[in-house]
Amino acid sequence: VKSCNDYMGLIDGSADPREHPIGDLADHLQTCNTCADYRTAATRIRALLNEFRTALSTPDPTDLALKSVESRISSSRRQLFWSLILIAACIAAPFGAMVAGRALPLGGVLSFLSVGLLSLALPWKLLRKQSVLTKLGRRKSDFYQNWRHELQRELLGIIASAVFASLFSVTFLFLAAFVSFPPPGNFVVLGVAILMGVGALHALLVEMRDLRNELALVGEAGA
Amino acid sequence: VSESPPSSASEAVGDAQENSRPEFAAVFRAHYPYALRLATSLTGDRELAQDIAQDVFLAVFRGLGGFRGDSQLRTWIYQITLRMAGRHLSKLKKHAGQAVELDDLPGTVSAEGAAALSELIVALGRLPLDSRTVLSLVAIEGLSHQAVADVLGVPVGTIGSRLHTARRQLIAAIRG
Repeated sequence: VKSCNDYMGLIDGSADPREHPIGDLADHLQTCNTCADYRTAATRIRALLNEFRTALSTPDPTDLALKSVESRISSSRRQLFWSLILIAACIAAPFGAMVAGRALPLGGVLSFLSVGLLSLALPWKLLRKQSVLTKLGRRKSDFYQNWRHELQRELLGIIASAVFASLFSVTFLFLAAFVSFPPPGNFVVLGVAILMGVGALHALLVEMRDLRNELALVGEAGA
Repeated sequence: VSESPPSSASEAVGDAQENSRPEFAAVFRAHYPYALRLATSLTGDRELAQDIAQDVFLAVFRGLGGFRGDSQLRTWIYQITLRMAGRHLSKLKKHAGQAVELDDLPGTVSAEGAAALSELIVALGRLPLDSRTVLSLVAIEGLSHQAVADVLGVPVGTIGSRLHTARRQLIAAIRG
């Protein structure tokens, strides 16, 4: 015995007619108002979706879009390049000072280390995001399940980064307040503390909120 | 003939970009239209869809080396588009279901069809993401159930039931 759900599947084409012979569909439609209404609505939806497809099928000028993407590629490469330069400078500076026989004070070394770590955030995020997207095409498992797992991992990463940046920020605030560095050392250390604090707040308030919203959107999809 | 190494990091960056440009441009021209179409049908917002499609092709540019087969590449581009659209949609969640500007759509829409189409796009925006996705891939993109199953990494048999659920949800959303 077929249920209305079976007939609705036949009406909207989602059921395989070989498994559900449609010989009696016409008879059923004459006696079932629910399925008759469903057929009317399904026909209208099909026509609307076709009209939507037609409206979307006229291509945009791709050359203009290509130029825009190429410009963003160049800009992204420049950003990456300068981040790497900054990281290299932050690593080289304390060593350079040491080789020259002028050891940097602890505050200076820590400041270079912190700026270096902050500069690492951009290439690290870029590489991580790209790695996730590249792996997509090679995975054969459930798309939504993978998406959820990756979002959960990303959330953990954000929490860990925020905790790490908060600890740095508090340590630097402590150093700026209670340790006397040669001028302008205390201001530099205080600046790094503020920078780290802002980074931690951004991770907790903005990035975590965005990830949670995305997780809610993906929600039970595909389950 | 040996090539001399680039003299600086910025030259290396420039050379890599020049070398990959022709292949990327061909891929872009072949695949951009449907990525944009899918993004538009998922978001109901042409401008946002253009941003999403550009994000997609930034990722394609970086990961293109790993893909050779056209169908594999197409599946991958659909998957990246879904991810990117999801990320943008989650940020604009409060706007889901709002009226859309049909003037932004590239094709012409008849005056009498405009209201109904607007109603459809708003209703699509109210559907769960997986229902919107399966409807977009089948009804707008015209993909086979097998192709959709490849994109979503699920057995082909599940696509029919997801499509049925999505259509019922869309009908309910349009009826309000």
